[in-house]
Amino acid sequence: MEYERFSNNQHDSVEEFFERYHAFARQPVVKSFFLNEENKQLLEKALVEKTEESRRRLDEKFRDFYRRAKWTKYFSNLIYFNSINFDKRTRTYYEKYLTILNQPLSDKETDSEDEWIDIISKETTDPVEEIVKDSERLEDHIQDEKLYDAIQQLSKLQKEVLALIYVDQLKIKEVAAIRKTSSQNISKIHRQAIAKLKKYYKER
Amino acid sequence: MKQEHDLITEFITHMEPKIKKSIKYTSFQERDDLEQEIKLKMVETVSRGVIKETPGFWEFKQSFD
Repeated sequence: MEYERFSNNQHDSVEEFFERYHAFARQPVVKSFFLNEENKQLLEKALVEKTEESRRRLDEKFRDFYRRAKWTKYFSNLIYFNSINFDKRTRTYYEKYLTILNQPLSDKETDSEDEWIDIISKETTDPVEEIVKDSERLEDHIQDEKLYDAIQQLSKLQKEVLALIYVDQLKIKEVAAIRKTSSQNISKIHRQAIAKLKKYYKER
Repeated sequence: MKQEHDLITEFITHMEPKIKKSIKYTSFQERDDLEQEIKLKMVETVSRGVIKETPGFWEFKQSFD
């Protein structure tokens, strides 16, 4: 009973505080600060105990809360306006400095009559890619490490057949013609090779 | 100052999604530049003390008396 009265008393003191300083309590930052029950308890404590320590703790907590709110607001605006300004800036930059392909390479008087467009290379593929692209070996076309290991398990014949089917995208019939054997045979080699790969994957 | 230094790091991490969202409207090649610029600006505002120090609870209350 005693305790309840005490807590009631505390609660009243908070309400009373809010009523007395209603202009202050109506401030958005104050309102949101006291949405947190913990902060309300801090205020209760400060009002009831009236000690320097409890007052200071509330003060610090509020200062920190206010600062975070202020920073968040400030940075939100900063991010927003900076993005817009940056966009404007880059746009004007590209409008002013167009890439003109048929202007001379340098303003100095040189013998060369090369223009910008001449130094743009046509092929931009990776040289390694270029070499590998034409390789007949099945392994050269594999990027996945596990699959690469799995393919090492296959026989030379199996690898060759798989390369013809998957890399060169030939039909079984066409492969059979190249290998001078029946398409049933190629089909069988193909099936066995796939089964071997599957088995390797399962065991790992 | 030490405390502010920690706080700005926390804030940059905290506002990362907002930054990521705002750079989406910029062309693909410029995004990294913009992201870096924003973060730099954030650190600058703190180190230059652009944002005023916030009042404590009792101080703030008094300004309404």
